[in-house]
Amino acid sequence: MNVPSNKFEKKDIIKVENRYLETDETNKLSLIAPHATINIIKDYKLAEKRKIQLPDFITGIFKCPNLRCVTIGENIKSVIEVIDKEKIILKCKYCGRILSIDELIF
Amino acid sequence: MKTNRFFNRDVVSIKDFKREDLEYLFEKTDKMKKLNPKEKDELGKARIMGYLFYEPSTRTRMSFEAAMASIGGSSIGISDLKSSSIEKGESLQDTVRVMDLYSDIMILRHQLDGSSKFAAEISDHPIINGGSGSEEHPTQAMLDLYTITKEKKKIDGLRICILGDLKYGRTIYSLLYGLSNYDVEIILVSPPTLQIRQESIYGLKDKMKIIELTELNDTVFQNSDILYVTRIQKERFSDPQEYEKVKGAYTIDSNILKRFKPDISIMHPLPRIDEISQDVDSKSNAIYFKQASYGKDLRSALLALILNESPL
Repeated sequence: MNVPSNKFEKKDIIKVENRYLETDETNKLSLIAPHATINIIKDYKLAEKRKIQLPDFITGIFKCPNLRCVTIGENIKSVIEVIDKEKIILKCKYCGRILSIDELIF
Repeated sequence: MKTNRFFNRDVVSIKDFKREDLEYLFEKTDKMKKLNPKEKDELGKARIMGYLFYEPSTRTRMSFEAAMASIGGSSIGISDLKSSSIEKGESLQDTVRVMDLYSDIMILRHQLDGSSKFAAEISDHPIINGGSGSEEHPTQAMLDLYTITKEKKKIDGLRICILGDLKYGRTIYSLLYGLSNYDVEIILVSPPTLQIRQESIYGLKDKMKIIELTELNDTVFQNSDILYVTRIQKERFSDPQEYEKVKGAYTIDSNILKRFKPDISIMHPLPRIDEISQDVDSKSNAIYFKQASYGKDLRSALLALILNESPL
């Protein structure tokens, strides 16, 4: 959308209607958009401005890329642990594989 | 009453155990060996060890069964999948849940990484990882470390060369995690296609010096105190041609042995195929069968400690 931004010159906006996002839901966005800001609009007014933070665990969103992982072989809900929030280093809770964001499978 | 530090614990990864835990286990293993049969019998009396082996095993299963029998307990289990409902498609989850109903402790060997972690979450009784995919084999590493302490009287200060299939060999990873509790130097030697998985040794290089090589050279011959040899894991190759290319890449025979330090100890988790020639078996350096015998001793102590609240 290329909306003007003071910090980055340009920015995009994604609008989600008729759905209140809980903090743990918006935190999951931090993996794909670590600098995103969440604006909660209620009755046409800004009700809350929220900075997102990486959660300690991300459950059930991504698949572990390790094809030998029990979560893949036995169709179990994945749990990805965030072991370094600065460098964004992730670990599969089950197989222990160290992962980067790029390796995660939706 | 003081509770022992292993009571009711799962043994999923050796990373869950600190140096003092391991040394406690080694001390209790020594103590167990001195007990008479009647005293040992009390430690596992009327207790049942369940085992689920989704992959073949000789030493791990037999030594656990022998260990359980030696403390007066009994074993039930599945090692032939064709004679169980696993053949009908029963999930790991359901099989573990049912075995958990019938046993006080369970040994699981499974081809998938993380299988023991998952099993430990869904079972009420302790789970011991008897080998999970290419990930870990913690009790093998515990007995390997115990073997080193018996042979060398120490672990700190040793240079340990690990040779063979470092990519797929799960014992290697558990051994490295266990060794990271000590002040050791590691030399890893493998064919280029079977080098250690860097993502699986994340953080280890900060804890200990690790040298990676693709061939045996003077650094290895002159510096190693322990040579730990592993089998090329044929069953984990998706392409048989790739296996053919690397099988027999390194063979330790009595001629090569002469190039090492005279007091080098040769270890192997077994089974071996052709990576150690049989002419090495009679040498005093060859300690792999002694290592296998320690498996029963250490696993007896481990089972007794997990099943009994009081220390041995």
